[in-house]
Amino acid sequence: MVIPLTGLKIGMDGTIVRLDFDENIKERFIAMGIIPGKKITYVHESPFGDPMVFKIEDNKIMIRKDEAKKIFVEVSEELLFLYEANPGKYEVISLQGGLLFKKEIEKLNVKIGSKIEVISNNYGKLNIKVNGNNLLLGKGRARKILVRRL
Amino acid sequence: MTFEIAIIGNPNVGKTSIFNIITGSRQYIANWPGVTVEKKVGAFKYKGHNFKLVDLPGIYTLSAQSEDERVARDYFLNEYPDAVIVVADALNLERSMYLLTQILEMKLPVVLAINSIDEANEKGKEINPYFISQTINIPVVLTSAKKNVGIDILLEEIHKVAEKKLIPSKKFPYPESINEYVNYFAEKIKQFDYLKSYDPEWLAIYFIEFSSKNFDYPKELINDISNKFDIQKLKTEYMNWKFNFISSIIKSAVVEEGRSWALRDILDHVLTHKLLGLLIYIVALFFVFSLTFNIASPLSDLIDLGFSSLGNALDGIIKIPWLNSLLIDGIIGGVGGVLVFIPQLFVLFFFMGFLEESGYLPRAAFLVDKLVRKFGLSGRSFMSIILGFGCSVPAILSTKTIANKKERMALILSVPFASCSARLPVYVLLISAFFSKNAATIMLLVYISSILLVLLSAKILQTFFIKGDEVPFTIELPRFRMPTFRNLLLYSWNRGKHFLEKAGGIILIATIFIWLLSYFPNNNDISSSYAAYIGKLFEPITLHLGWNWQTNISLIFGAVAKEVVASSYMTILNVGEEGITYALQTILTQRSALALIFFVLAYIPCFATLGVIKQETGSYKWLFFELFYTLIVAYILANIVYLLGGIFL
Repeated sequence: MVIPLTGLKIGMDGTIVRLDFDENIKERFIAMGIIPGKKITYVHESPFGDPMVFKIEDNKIMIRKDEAKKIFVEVSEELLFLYEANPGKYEVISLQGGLLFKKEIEKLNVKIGSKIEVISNNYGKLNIKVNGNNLLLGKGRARKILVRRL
Repeated sequence: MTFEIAIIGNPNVGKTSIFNIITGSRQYIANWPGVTVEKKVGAFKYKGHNFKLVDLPGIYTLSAQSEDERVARDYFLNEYPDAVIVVADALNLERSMYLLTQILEMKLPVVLAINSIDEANEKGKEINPYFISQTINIPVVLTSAKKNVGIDILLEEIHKVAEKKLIPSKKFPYPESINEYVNYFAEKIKQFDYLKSYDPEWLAIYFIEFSSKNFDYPKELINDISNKFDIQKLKTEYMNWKFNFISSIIKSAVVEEGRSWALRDILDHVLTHKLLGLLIYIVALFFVFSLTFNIASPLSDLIDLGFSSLGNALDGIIKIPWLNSLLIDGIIGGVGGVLVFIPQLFVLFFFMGFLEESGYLPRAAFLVDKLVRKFGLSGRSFMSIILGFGCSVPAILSTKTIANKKERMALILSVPFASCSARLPVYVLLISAFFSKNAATIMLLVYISSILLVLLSAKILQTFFIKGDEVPFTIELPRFRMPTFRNLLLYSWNRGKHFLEKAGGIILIATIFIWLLSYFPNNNDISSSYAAYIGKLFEPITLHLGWNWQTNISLIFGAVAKEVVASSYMTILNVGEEGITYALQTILTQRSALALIFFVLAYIPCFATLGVIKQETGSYKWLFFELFYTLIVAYILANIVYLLGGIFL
């Protein structure tokens, strides 16, 4: 699926497909390393939601949303954060927190690759099932878990 | 004979560090003629030859879209350097190759310096310089400016290239269709005499890369070429060829073990975090602000004291009254007025240098970019505006790190509306005389208007007065680096020296000019001086605001430095600190005092600021623009406040 960079969730990556700019501006982005065929990851989000920081190989580049809208990437499938997930089965793709958060959540058997089932989603407050155990997650934690629908 | 060497590279590759190592302290800063892009030139000797080293702006391409890029391209087109050092980043070699290819296509004698090799090795990256050297036929040196590695070899290679003018003879292996086009183009262009000094093959390549926008190609030739070739298709082919060419070189020359960037990512996670990041930014701003104005102010006071005691000591030694006054009030006062800035500028440059070289500034810009964007500014501007509330001089000098020239010009001309600390004594004097009950409200109004003025002015200037290209604000977050103490000192020293040379003279001359106005024709009797005469001249346009000639003179003297408005009142009204309140109440009403406060907020920035504006914009045109612009804005503002004051007071 091809989506603009602004469609990426934090931590998600895609392969650059095309840049919809005038020739001159396009050339500038290409010279900065935003080259079709390269993998690009959305790594930092600004306190005010705009601009965004992306990582390409070892470079981190800040791009405003107005420009990011015009850069298109191919993503394998749409990912979403757990807090926006409807009831159903999901696979954990990544955990977007600090070390402490990761340790804590892994103790609860929520790891990268683990399968979970969302039983109910009450405005971001989740009741989920992992390894047969029921678990309640607050919005704060659910925001940091990136999942893929199974 | 002196060899001229140019040094160029992407931003943040350590170009400046290499420049500093090679030239040591033998360097100076200037603007390129007619533009605000900074030019650093240094000198050095090697094996009995004199070398001049020109530092070109850090850029990604030679497209000539931004002023930086235009400066670099025009330099290569017109100056014929004896050698060009292209500095590449060992950790980002692929991206640096893009610019390198463009420079090689201009047929310049190039030495490639692959810098930060120590960091690359630490990260498990090995680079084979011989392979690159063989493939594109230029000398390639591995360097580390931080650890002073490879600089000797670099100097040796520059020397060799400059002496023999070694222009790489190998042609790029373009695809057949590109070759065919280039040959045809080069053959045709020979009939145009005015293009004789340019390389015909470069003209051909430059045309497919950037079309005819930034270069004056003959129309008939363009028509001919467009009929014969599909330019769009050639462009795509050329771009594809370039990527493949570069990535094939990189693949063969760089061996790399996959390792992650854990430490940088953790630091970035904190520094760009929604809450923590903002908090750290506020702390950083507070530090720069308070250190600049607090650490430095005792030193400034000391300098001030030194000059006034020097004045006192000389007083009476010279018996000719006008010479005595010129020396003490004019020259010593003026020199002192320049030198008091030195401590705070050095402290500011030191810390700004730290923030810039460590790689923090782009992260700070990222955090607040959205807040000021509506006004045509970017996150980079935010810190300069905040500094402006301390003093406009360092604030304007701190705009150097803003890459977009249009934004930078607008900011330089708008920052003086930020209410600097020198205006405070004037507000305090007037508020305590007229608004002692509502002091806080008035102060708040002043500061809010000040912020609005800065932002609106930046927008208005960019809409109507400052021309420039819209370039998307896209910056790199560079790797973190620990700046060396030596580099920071060198950085502060060069910029401080630059201020003394460029702005100091203007401030001194202006101060002496004001002295002349106040001293003549009646030997130091201000109320019958030329200044008083000018004050009376302006009465017709100020009397309706309730300002008589005494207020006008104080404002004229306030152009030297804003705090002078308060002390001039005491001199003119011939009263001390105690009597000033009552004396002011006899010549001003509440309404006119309020209008005066807002006039002082906006009108003519002090001479020091004007001097720095001239230094940074590189032209007197903008100095005079600023003079009239702020006067008009201040006059309109004062009238509005006077009208509104009539309703509320």
